[in-house]
This record gives sequence, structure tokens and C-alpha cells, in this order.
Amino acid sequence: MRDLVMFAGMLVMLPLALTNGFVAYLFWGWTALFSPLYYLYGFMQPIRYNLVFAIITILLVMLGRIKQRGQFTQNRTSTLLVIFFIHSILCALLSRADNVWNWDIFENFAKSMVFCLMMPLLVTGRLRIHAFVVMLALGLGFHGIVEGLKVVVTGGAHRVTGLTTMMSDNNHFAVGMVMVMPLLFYLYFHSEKKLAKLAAASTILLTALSIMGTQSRGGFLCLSIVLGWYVLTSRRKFFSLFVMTLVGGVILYFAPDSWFDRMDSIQNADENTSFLGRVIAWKVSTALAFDYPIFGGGFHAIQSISIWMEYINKIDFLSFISTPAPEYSPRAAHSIYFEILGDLGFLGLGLFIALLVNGFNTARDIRQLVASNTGLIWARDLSDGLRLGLVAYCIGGAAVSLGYFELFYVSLMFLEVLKQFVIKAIHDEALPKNTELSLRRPSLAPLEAS
Amino acid sequence: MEGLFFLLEIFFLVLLGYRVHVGERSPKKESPLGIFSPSEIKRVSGDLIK
Repeated sequence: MRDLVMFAGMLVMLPLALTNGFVAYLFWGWTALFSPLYYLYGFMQPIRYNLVFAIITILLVMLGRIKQRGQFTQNRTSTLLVIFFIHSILCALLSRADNVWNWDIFENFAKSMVFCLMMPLLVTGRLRIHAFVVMLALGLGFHGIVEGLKVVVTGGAHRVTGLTTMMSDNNHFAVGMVMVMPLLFYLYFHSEKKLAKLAAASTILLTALSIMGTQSRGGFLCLSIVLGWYVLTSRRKFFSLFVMTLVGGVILYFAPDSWFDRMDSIQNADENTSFLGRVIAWKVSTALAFDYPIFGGGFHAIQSISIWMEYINKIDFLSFISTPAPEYSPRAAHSIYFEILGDLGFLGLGLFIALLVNGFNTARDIRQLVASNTGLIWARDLSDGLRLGLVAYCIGGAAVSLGYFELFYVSLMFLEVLKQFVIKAIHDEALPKNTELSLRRPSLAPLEAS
Repeated sequence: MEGLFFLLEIFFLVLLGYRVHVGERSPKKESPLGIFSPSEIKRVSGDLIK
């Protein structure tokens, strides 16, 4: 049945994509986040939807068939992303020969980067920016809705495991869902139709339940911090406090005893086998980076058994952090920072952190540009939401291997696209002149230059 | 249940693509299902007309 639905959907989606390059781009992004292959079992399963829409988009761009086409401008974000991408290509090429995961992971990462680098050409104007947010919410929110409903119908007993290729275990899923929640808040506030508001509010609650269903301690910590941050930084303090209380109440109502037991174990992390196993993986990643400081061991190097076996014997120089005897089966890096460190070396980690810092700086720039300009307040709310997603990624990612998560790189480029839109909108004077714009004009020059 | 939501997902995705396509061709049209609010459509229209 789902295959028939997908088939019928493709009959409409393909002509739409062929006639409008931006729609093709939206569908490309959706296929990456939603992973339709995971939900199909019949004749529509073998089709590579992502590739189909990517080819259509790239062809339309190359043929100049994109209306309202933007320009790829050199700025902080695009420069850093391009350098990081080039560095990652070199790392993949110079990877250790016994790294069996290298090209599989690189292929997925390269697709994400190409998608991000095309964003300035296609996401132009208010309609497209809003549509892009809706696409992100549809692509990732679906997983939150379905898994959240499963938690509800089982009275909290359903255990959410990994879903897509990127969110492949419960911890990854939890972090991915926390990252999408701020965008759902944005959609709630910036939709006037009750149906759209209801859809966004329900998705927020169900997504919170799906995070609870993962029983991920990191995910819970991440959710708590993000909601707390949201309350502190939101313009609507009372409402955000109400949302936080509601989400907390719903989680407590559905949470099984096993969830409370698991969350209690957060206090004993230093004695926890799972946590100490992660520390060993961090040590192995660090030891690998010391041997390959510039280009690392290649994508997911420590997950190759020969590399793992070699480097668990080289972690003695980190013995000042006490850990039990290491396992003799390879583990994932279990931290975005150590994952990048082991895979792409110290240079790669430096670029990665520069990207992160730049993301926060771009969000700050947008806040400064918009200030009290009511015509662009939506841009400020959206940048706040994206920034909150970055906070979730920094915190939640500290204990999961999500270094190449699409949504992170998409958020970085999306912030830059939003900033360029705001600068252009202010310069074009396309907005209501109800602000003291002229007073802020002088401060635009350094931001544009960056 | 998952199948029903899969159907809704595809429906809303197609609707999104359709709304964007139609919205860019004739920006003054109202959204049929409230994906974009009337006030936002006005702002969007303003962007596009300009």
C-alpha cells in the first residue's frame, strides 16, 4: 500500500520537480532527512529518490532553468564549508587502507555538502525560506510523530531505536529530534492558521515523547538544556515556560519505571560501563589523531577492527584518565568532537569547531541586524531556532557519533542564507519603515564584509 | 498507523511542492491548508512582486 502511495506521490512530485528547480531541491532535502527507503518494502523500495531529485536539481541549475536564482557568494560560512569539504576529500583519499568504512561514510557526507553548497542558489526569498523550514519539519518531524504515537499507544512501553541511516541508534535519534524541535516552535509561532499551529504543537509533544521513548540519557539531558535555554532566551517567556511544563508533564505521565531507573544512572556516569566504554573510544580516537594529526585515519576509522586493535594498545599515554580494560571489538567514536578528531585529524577538528563558532556568530549577526525591526522579526525567530538546534548538537553530540549529520551542515548554511536575505532586505528597503533602520545602517558594512 | 501517517506525509509534501510552485507563479493566491498564514502570504507576495 505504501508503495502505491509513494508511486502516486512520485507521479506528482516528478513533474513538479522538473518544472521548478527549487521544488526539486526541497524534495532532495526531504528524501535525505525522511529516508523513504526505510518505510517502503515493495516495488518502490529500490529507487534512489535522493539521487533522482539531486540530479534533477543539479541539471536544472546547470541549464540555467532556475527562476529567482541566487548567487554563491564568498563569505565566512561558504569559505569554511568549502575548506572543510576539501579537507575531508583529502582525508578520504589519504585514509588508512584498512579503513573499511571510509568511502561509504564519505559518500553520504559529500552528498550533504553538495546539498548545502547549492543552498544559496536556490533558497531565495521569504516563501522559499519558509518552505525550506516546512520541508525540514516534514522530513524529521514525521519520525517524531510516528515514534511518539507508538509511545502513547503502548502507554510508554515502546522503545525507540534507530531509524534512518544517519540516526541509526536511539541516542542519534534523540539528538536529531531535539535539533528539530526549535524549528517546530518557529512554525507554531509563524503560522496563523489553526490547523498549522495544531500540527506544529502536536508534533512538538509527540517528538518529546519519542525522545523519552529512546531512553537516551544524553538525549534527555540535551532536551532539558534546550528547553531551559529556550525559556531563558525566548521573547515569549510565559508561553515557553508553559510549553516546558507541558512537555515535562507529558513525559512524566508516560515514562515507565525503567526510564526513571535509567535517568537515575546519569549521576553515576563515572562508574557506568556504557560511559567508560565511550571514554575508551575517545582515547582510541585521540591516539589515532596523534599518529595522523593532519588528515586523520579517514571516515569512521576506529570502527575498522584492524585499526581499533592497533590503537587500543597505544592509549597508555592517556592513562591519567582511568578506564577499565578495553574491549576487543571496535566501537564508534561516540562523540562528534572525537569522531572528527580521529577521522579528520587535529586540522579537521579545528575547522569543525570554527564552523560551529561561525554558526553562532552568524545567528548573533542576524539578531543584531534585525534588532527591533518588526518586519524581519520572523528572521530573528528562525535564526534563534537554528541557533538552539546548534546548542542541541553541541551538547547532545558530545556523546554520539553524529559528526556528519546533515541537519548540522544544513543549519549552518541556512543561517548564512538567512543572514544574506536580511542584509539584502534591509538594503533594498523592501520592508515597512517602522524602525530606526537608518541608525543601524553604519553597522551593516562589517557584517557584509564578513 | 504508520501507513496512514506515511500517506499524510506524502500528501503534505506534495502539497508543499504544489503550494510553492503555484505561489511563485501567482503569489496572491491564498494557501488552501494553512501551511502559510494569510499575513505571511502577503509578505511573501510582497517579496515576489518586488
